[in-house]
Order: sequence, then structure tokens, then C-alpha cells
Amino acid sequence: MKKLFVVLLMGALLASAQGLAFAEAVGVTEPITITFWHARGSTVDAEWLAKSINKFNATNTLGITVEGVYQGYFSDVQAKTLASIAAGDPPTIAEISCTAIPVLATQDLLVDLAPYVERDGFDMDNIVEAVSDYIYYDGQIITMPYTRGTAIMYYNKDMYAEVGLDRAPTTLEELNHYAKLIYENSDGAVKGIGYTIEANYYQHYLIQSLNGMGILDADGSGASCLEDGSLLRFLTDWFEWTEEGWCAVPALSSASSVVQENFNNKSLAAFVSSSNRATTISNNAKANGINLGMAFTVGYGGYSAPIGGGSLGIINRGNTDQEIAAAWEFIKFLMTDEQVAGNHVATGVLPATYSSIETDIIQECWAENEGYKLSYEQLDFASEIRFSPYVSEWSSIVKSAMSQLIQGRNITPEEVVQNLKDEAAALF
Amino acid sequence: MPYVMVAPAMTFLLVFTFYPLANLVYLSFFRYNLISDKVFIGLTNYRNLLFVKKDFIQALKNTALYSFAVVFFTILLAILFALWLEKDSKINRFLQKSMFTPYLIAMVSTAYIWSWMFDVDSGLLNAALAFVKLSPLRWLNDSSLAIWCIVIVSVWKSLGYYLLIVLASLKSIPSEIIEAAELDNTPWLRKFFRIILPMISPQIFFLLITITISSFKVFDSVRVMTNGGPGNATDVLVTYIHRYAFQMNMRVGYASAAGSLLLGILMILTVFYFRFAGRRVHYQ
Amino acid sequence: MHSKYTGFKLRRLAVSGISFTFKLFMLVLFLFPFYWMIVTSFKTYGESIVFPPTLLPHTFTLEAFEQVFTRLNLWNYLKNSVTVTVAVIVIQTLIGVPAAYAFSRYSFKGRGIMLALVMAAFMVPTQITFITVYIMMSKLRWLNTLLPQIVPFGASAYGIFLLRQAFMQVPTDIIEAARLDNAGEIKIMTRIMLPAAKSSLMTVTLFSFVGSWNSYFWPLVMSNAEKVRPLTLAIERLKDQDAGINWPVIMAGNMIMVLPVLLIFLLMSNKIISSMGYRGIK
Repeated sequence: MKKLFVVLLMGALLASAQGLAFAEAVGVTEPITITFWHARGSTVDAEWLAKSINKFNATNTLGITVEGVYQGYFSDVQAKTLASIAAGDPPTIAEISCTAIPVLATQDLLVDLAPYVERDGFDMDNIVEAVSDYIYYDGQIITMPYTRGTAIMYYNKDMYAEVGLDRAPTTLEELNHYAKLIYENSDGAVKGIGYTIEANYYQHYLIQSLNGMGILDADGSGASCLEDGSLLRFLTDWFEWTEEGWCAVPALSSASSVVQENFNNKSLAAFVSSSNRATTISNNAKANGINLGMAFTVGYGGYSAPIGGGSLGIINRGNTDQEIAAAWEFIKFLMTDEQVAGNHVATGVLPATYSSIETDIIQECWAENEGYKLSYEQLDFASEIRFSPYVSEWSSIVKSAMSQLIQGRNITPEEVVQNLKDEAAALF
Repeated sequence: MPYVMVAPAMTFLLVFTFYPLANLVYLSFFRYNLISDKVFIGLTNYRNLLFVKKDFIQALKNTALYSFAVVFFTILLAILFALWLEKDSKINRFLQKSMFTPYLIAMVSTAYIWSWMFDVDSGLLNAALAFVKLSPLRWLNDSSLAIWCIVIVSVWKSLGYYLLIVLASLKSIPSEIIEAAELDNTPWLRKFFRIILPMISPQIFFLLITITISSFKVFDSVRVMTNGGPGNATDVLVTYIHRYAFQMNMRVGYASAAGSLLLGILMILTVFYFRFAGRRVHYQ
Repeated sequence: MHSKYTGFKLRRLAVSGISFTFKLFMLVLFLFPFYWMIVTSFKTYGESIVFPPTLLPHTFTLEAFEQVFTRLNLWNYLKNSVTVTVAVIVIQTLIGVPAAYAFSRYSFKGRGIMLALVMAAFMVPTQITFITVYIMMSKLRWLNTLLPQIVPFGASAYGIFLLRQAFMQVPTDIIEAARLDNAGEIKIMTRIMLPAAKSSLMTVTLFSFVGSWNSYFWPLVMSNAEKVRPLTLAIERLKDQDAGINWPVIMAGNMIMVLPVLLIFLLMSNKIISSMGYRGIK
């Protein structure tokens, strides 16, 4: 009798737990305004986003108005969104980077979209697999990919052809060889290659090609790159490359802008940057008469690439059911083929759905510009950092350490690794 | 009656100055990110701050170096200029006014202007160096030079203000004493160290404290010019605290611990100055 | 005799000539950054990055200013700066004058402690208080208003301290006479104290104005929305994500921020300088 009672109780508890996790999908009943905080600040991005928002505001029949607010880089969006959640007036939707998603998800700050996906029959299989890693958490659907990207190498075809490389390099060793030649042939006037410091993105794929994991372990709870020598090796190499001069040292502020500027005024022959900037960079290259080449990024011994970028998440705290429902309508709109394809073609972000790739919009673009297709193809061997609550902080710490070494240059790679070990002890 | 008159002021001070002070120390014993609940962790923040992580110590060193450099050069130059420009003449007054102007504009503006002059590729200073056939410097990108660049900016900005204060105190020296020294035919250097300096020492001492304290709080120029870089060569205490509180996942407890240490330093500095300089100050 | 005298005079002339030249040199050196800011703001982007830089613009253009006006909603930022600064000065005066008066002329229980607290408060910087005040403001939902930039500065410890010094210098007999005439406290404050402390009041107001108008750190922390940000935070908006730093545009923005202050200074420089001379004496 007692056993039966216990079983019944468990059953009831399970049923109610199920009910708690499965919130209702609400419909939008009256006109409403929602806010969208994003990092799309470049002219090209801002223009496209404005178009998208205006179209949605004009065509949706539910009276929803979306207000887009530019907040800065992804790190700014993360910081401000967290701050606003704490202050009690968060945005409805935010464009959240991969590093920020775990921070929000583990504190239960993202709305579970599953009920809405179910109600509207949204096809989750249509989402490109490579960018679906940060969508699920704890059985919930917490984000939708929006401005996902990978890093690609932009290079000056003419300059590299001059030193004998008339196709894209296939390994890091090959790239470095020709980069050095460019530097030497120009007597130091032109640097061959430049990386900016984004530890969880650019440096991550370089280290990953050494140890298969990158700066953070697969389970996200430690950093064995500190112990297995891969980080030390990479740091020593990078320091040497910049010391020899052919690898550009990133600027202190607006590093990615400076890199693009140097490329445009021909003092830099190649650089690694997000595929999300493809349109901007090719426009600038055209304006400056540069024969732009886009290629897969290369790591030690072959191709290696990161995946990153932003996803859309609805904030769970401080937003009414109505606002959440309205936000879902906007997200659904942004995930339509026309929008996804347009997003890719206009700005360079990765196409997030398979169906969008079939559209004429993308097919025609790819026929004309090999570079855009490239970023999508690179997904075959690209990888992203594992979902971990430590990503955000650890990548800041590593970035700072790398900055000390490469920009500050008053410390040795060994010391950097030792400092990082200390930091890891305090963090993990 | 007097209580009514001081009440508003005291209330404001209590709510916005003293309570935050106490709360800062209180928060330093917790792990807190403003969203989830506070978790009491005792002295862990302090242990990490001082013994496990190395970046706080670096920020502390940078701030101390910066402060002492600014104090030294500002007071030295203020006194020298005050003595040089003491006479009341048109050019002197004009120079005083001009040197005072930077004090009035925002530190951010100053920082932007100087960042531009320090620019490595097209900046004015490297152009000047090239003009005299010297090789360009990396200025703000050079980890050993960057902090001195920020010192220069700070001195340039505030010199005029402190100059006027020293000037005022020079002028307040009773003329009989100056005349007496002049009659005695005392050599100038002696006159300065035996008579002028002691007479203006209260003001100089006051300046010493205020400049040190304001230097320890530096933020605007560092943030705009280097944001703590390269690496953390110019990271100062306040940029450190700000970063941990608002940018690194809002580690408010940890940032509060760093803030408490800054507070402790400021308190120690004040006590130290009152003790040490108190013996040397000559009051009328 | 004659030549020695001339010789002496010549030497004096030479020394003062050198001194004068040196002073001119100092003047140029000190003011050069301003000149540079102005000159850069009238250059084209292309000319600004030329090396070595041109001392005078070859092409004089207003495109940098155009960009500033089109990319920023200057009116918004200006409005905020003005509102905050004026509000702070007004509140500080309303609260500080009575307090300074009470501290200077009354003897009451707890005065010593309170005065010590005021002195202590002077030493406590915003960089220490900001975390807690931020939490307070966020709980009050004030972060998208101008209030966090105004209210915490209601009491100026520096102002109270300085005004107290000034008030203490007013001869007691005048006050006694006024009291005999049955003058109320407010009358004494406004008719006797304030006029006597004009110079200190000017110093304090200037200090508050400069502090508020040029404030960067505090509004950076305490503003969650563009609509409440002051001028000092506007320049950051001029940094474009896809292009390098456009120096002429940044300098143009800075000029707009700096101009009001410089104009006020030009108009009132003598008054400001003489009020400086009064402080720090006693």
C-alpha cells in the first residue's frame, strides 16, 4: 500500500514537473512594441537590419513593432543585456554571441522556444547542422541562429601571386612561408598576414589544429591546452612571427578596423576576419582597386576554422507573455527563406537554413561570388567552442594574456602559460 | 535650527557616500552578479585578488607608478612655473590663462586629442621625431612607454590649475618677509628653501594629498587611450574594478573586493600624509 | 661708466628677451594640442593620415562636421549635459549653502563629527561608490533616466567645506547687527553670507560645472539608454565598426564638446582666475 502511494506520488510529481517545464505558447492579442538589442553596427549590417525591421513592422498583421537598438560589439550586448536584466528592464530579444549564450542559459534567462516551435510547426531539421550547437540546452530550445559566422582569410591575390602563390594556401606553414616572402620582398613595407585577438574565435581554431580541442576542453570544465604544450607552442610561434615582422601585431583599439584599413591601403597582404564582414570588405577592396581573394582559414597541417557569431534569444525575465509571443513572431520572420538568404547575401553571415540555400537569391550570389559560398563550405571542417558556463570568462582571460604577450611584449610565452594556469586554478 | 540646515546635506552624504562605502566592503565577501542571489564566500575574493591571480597586483603597480609620477612632475613644474611667472605682466598673465585652459575641458577630449598626437603611423609626435631624424616610437602601443604617455596627458591637463594655486600661495607670503630676505642679500636658492618653501608648505602639502588621491582614481584617460593595454601595461585600479563589475560577467563581489582595497589604500595615504608631512609643515 | 651701465642694461634686456621668447615657446607648446584638434577637424580623412602631417589643411573642408551632425543626435546629448549640469549646480547650492552656514556660525552637538564626516566624504571618490549606487539605481528603475547623474551629487562635500571657510571669515559684528534687526536666517544667508563669499561661491560653481559637464565615468556606468547620455559619451558613437578611426570626425566631435567651455572661459577668464587665487589660502 505504501509502495503504491509512493509510486502514485512520484507519478504526480513527474506529471507536474512536466507541466512546469512545458509553458504555454501564447498568441499576440493586441498591438505591441518590442525591443531588439543587437551588435549590427557596420553600415552594411545596419542597413540590412533596418530593412528587415521595417519590412516586418509594415507587413505583420498583428500590430507588432520592433525597435532595434545598436549596443556595440557582442561583448557590449552581453554586458548590457545582463545589466539590464539585473536592473529589471531588459530588451525583449537580444543578438547573443556564442560566448554569452551559456551565461544566460545557465541562469535560466532565455525563454524556451519549444512550445512555439511546436505550435507553429517550425522545422528544426531545416536548420543547418553546423550552427545548431547553441540552440539546445537542457532539453529546451533557447536560441535561433541569426548572424552566425565563421572566420575566413581575406587576401590580396595580386600580392600573393607576385611571390609565387597563385591559389589559396592549404596549410598554415604554407601561408607563413609566402607571408614572409611578401614582407622581405617589400623590405618590410608590407606585412604578410595579421590576426586580431579573439581567443575563442581566431586563436581558438589555430590551437585546435594542434590539440583538437582549442582553448577550452570538450567538456568545458578545464583547459588542457595549458598542460599538453599546445598553447605554449602556439604562443611561442605567434610571438616569433610578430617578432620577425611579417605577421602584423594587432592595434590596441579598433583592431579589426585597423587591420581592414591596412589591407585597404596595401600595407597588409592578408588577414583573418569574420565571414560576417564579407560584403563590407569586398566593397572596400573594390573601392581601393584590390583584387580580393577569400579562402578557407588554415591551421597547423591543414584547414581549421571556427564557428561563432550571434543568435537570437528572448529574455526570460522582465518580459510579459505578450512580448515573448510577439518576439517569436519576429524571430519566425527572420528565419524565413527570404530573410535568411537576404541576410547572407547582403552582409555575409552564414545561411542558417537549408531551404534558404535553395533560393535563387543565394544560388545567384554564389554563382557570382565564390567567397560567399566559401564560408558555407568551410563549415565542413569548422568547429566551435563547447557550450560551457566558463567560456565567456575564460576567453576574456586568455585574450588578455595573449594581448600581454603579443601587444605588450614584456613577458615570455612560458610566463603567460604559467599565469593562465594560476587563473585557471581560480576559475574552474 | 542648525540641524534642519545640515540635515539635507548629511542625508545625501549618508545615502550616497557612506552607505555605498559600507556596502562595498559588505559585497566583497560574496559572489554576486546582480541577477542570481548572493553567495557568501568569505575571503575568497581577497585571496584570488592578492595571491592567485596576478592582474590586480599589476594594476596596483601601474596605478602607484602613475600616481607618484603625476604628483612629482605636477608639483615640481607648478612650483617652477609659479616662480617664473610670478611677476604681474601681460605675458605672464596670458601664459597662466593659457596653461589653465586644459583643466576646463573634459578628460575624454584631452585623451582623444593626445591619442591622435601619439598615433604611431600619422601622429604629430612621431612626425616631430622624424623631423629631427629620430626613429618613431610606439607610444601608446609600447608597454613601457604607454603609462608615461598617460602621465604626460594628466600633467598637461592639470598643471595650469595647480600653478594658479601655488601662485596664490606665493602671493600670500607677507611682503615684509620677502623684503627682509632681500635686504639680507640671501642667495636665491637659500631664499627659496629657507623662506619661500616653508611658507607655502601647507598648500603644497594639501596639493600632495589631493593630487595623489585624484591620481589613484584615474579612469577616463586610460579607458580612452589604451583601455588598460597593451596587455595590462596601463591597467589601473579603477579600470580593473570597472571591467570586473560590468564586463566580465558582472563579478560584482570580486570587483567590490578590489574596490575595498582601493579604499584602504586611499585611507592609508591620507593618514600617512598627515603624519609624515605634518612634521615638516610650517604654520604661521 | 657709460658703457658699464649700457652693458648692464643690455644684459637685462637680453635676459628678459630670452625669457620672453621662452615664454612664447611655452605658450605654443601648451596650446598646440588645441590647435591640432582644430586643424585636424577641418581636414579630409585622406589628408589626416598623411605622414608627415600637414600643419595647415591643404583642403579646408567641413565634411567632418557634417558627419558628426548626421551621425549623432547632438541635440539629445547636449540637452542631457545641460540638464544634468544645471540641476546639479542648483541642488548643490540649495543644500550646501545652509549646511555651510550652519557649520560656520553655529555650535551644536555633533557638529564636530558631522564636519569630520564631510571631510571624509570629500575623500571618497565616485569610483568607490559606483557599484552600490548602480545597484540602487537599477533597483529603482532609474537607469534609463537622468536621475542617477544628478541625485547622488546633491551634496558637495567640497562645496560645503569651501563655503564654510568663506562664511567663517565674515565678521561676527555684521551678523550680530543683522540679528538685532530681527533678520531671519534666510535673509542673513542671502544678504550677508553669500555676497561675502562671492569668490568661493564662484569657485565652487565652476568646480561643479566642470565636474558635471566633463563627467565621463559616472554617466558611462549609470546610463542604460542613449537618450540619457551626455555629450562626453557621444564621441564614442563616432567610432565606426568597419572603418578605421576617422580622426577628423573625432576631432570635430571634440571641438563641439570643448567649445562651450572655452567660450565661457574666454568671456569670464579674469573672474575665474581671480577666484582661483582666493582658494587654498587658509
